[in-house]
Parts: sequence; structure tokens; C-alpha cells
Amino acid sequence: MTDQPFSPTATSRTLDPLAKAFTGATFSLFDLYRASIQAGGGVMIEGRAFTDCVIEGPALMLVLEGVHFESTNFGPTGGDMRNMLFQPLGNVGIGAIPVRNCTFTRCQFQTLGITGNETLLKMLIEQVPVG
Amino acid sequence: MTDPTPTMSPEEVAGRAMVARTSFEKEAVWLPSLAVQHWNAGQMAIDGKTFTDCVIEGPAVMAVMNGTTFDNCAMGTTTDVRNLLYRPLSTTKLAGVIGMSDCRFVRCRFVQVGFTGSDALLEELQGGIKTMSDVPKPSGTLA
Repeated sequence: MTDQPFSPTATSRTLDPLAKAFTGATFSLFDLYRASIQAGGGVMIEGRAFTDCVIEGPALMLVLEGVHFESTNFGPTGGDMRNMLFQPLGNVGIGAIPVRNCTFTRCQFQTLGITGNETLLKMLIEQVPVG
Repeated sequence: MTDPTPTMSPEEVAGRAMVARTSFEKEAVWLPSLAVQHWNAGQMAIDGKTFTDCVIEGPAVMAVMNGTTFDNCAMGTTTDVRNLLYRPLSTTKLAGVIGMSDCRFVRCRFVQVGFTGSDALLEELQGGIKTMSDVPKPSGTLA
């Protein structure tokens, strides 16, 4: 497993886009996604562990199987998690950033929306505490 | 006369110049970057711009707001336009998407861009938008 070696103030440009673990990093999800594709990492963000990261948008994260959120702050929900959520009308979420088999631990999301299947959206509405 | 932005980096200056532009022609436009430049300039939506013969690149989801029109555009590589569309679960706040109001897209191609908005807008897009296979590529060379 490769740990990205940069400080909490590291920008997107200094990250290894193929790293399996990111700790204390600040980056834009769209930057990571694009860099990962260009580095040969495939068309989804897969098999990564994000810990204590600030992950910025604008981006819509398509949450696929095996994604876990632990003590993650989804951003200013305005008291209703539905403010962050979108239902895809088709089977393929074009424009969203697909994420699979990833863990987000104590991360802070900023200007990120979330999409996924109905079960996921329902679970997030019911289980994510909002301020 | 005092320079109003003496501490701006060259990147910030370039970003502000991009924000000030009202027309884009035969260019590749990276939508997330354009949005961030607008946010950094205090503008939470992209407003009043015309894009002609441009490639609009994501990954991004555009919130189509009042006055935004699409004229002979190729909206994405899909045979089912619903794959481009997202319905917000909230009517009061949309997180993570890029708001665009009073913008005009003429003969543009969208790559990895999804769309969201009101139910009426989504209905309209399902009925009327063209996918990549329907529209010939714009002529000319992209800058």
C-alpha cells in the first residue's frame, strides 16, 4: 500500500493520484479523478482509503458498492441531508464521479453532492446526523 | 490609481480574467475549473455567457437555471438521455453541482457532464436534447 506523503496542506497537484491511502490531504475530487484516469487508474476511484482528508468539489460522487463513511462530515446540509443528494434517472451516472470499495474516515466534504441507488440515498437520509 | 488586486497570484489573475469573459468560441472548457474560478471571485453561479462550438468537459453536473439554452448541442455519449440526468432530492439547496443561468450553448459537445434542475427542466431535457450520435461534430479546430 502506498501512502501519499504530503502534509495536510498538500494540494491536488502534489498528490499521487494512484495512491491507495490518503491521510490529512486537501484536494478536489474532480482533480483526483482526472489525474487518476490520466495515470492509468481506470474510470472510477476504487480501493482507496481516505483518512482525515478535506475533499472538495464541485463534484457529484456516485457511491457504488463497498463504500464506507466513518465519522465523515458531508458539509453544510442545512439540517437536511437531502440537500446533498441526487437521484440518477438512468442506469449510468454520466458526469458523476464513481467511487467503489473506498473508505472515508473523519473526512470533511466541501461542495460535494452524493448520488447512488435508492437504498444508499435512503440510508444516508436516515443515518447521517445533520447539524 | 491603486491596483485593486495587488496580492493576486498570476493564477488568480488568469482566473478572474476567465470569469470576466462573456463568450467562448472553439475552446475546450473544463467546467469544474471554470466553476471554482467563479466561486473564488464570489460568484456562486456562472451567469450570462455564450459558448459556441466548444467542448464542455467534466466530470461535472450542471444545474440548468433560468435562461440557459442549448442550441444544436451534443449532450453526451449515451443512447439513453436519462443517463445524463439527476433529480435533486431537495428543492431548496443543491450541493456539488454547477449552477448556470442565462448561458447559451451553441453547437457545443458535452463530455462527462450531467444535468440537473427542476422536474419541468428534466422533463424537457428528456424530450428534447440530442446525444452525441445525433449531432455532427462542430467544424474548425479547438483552441
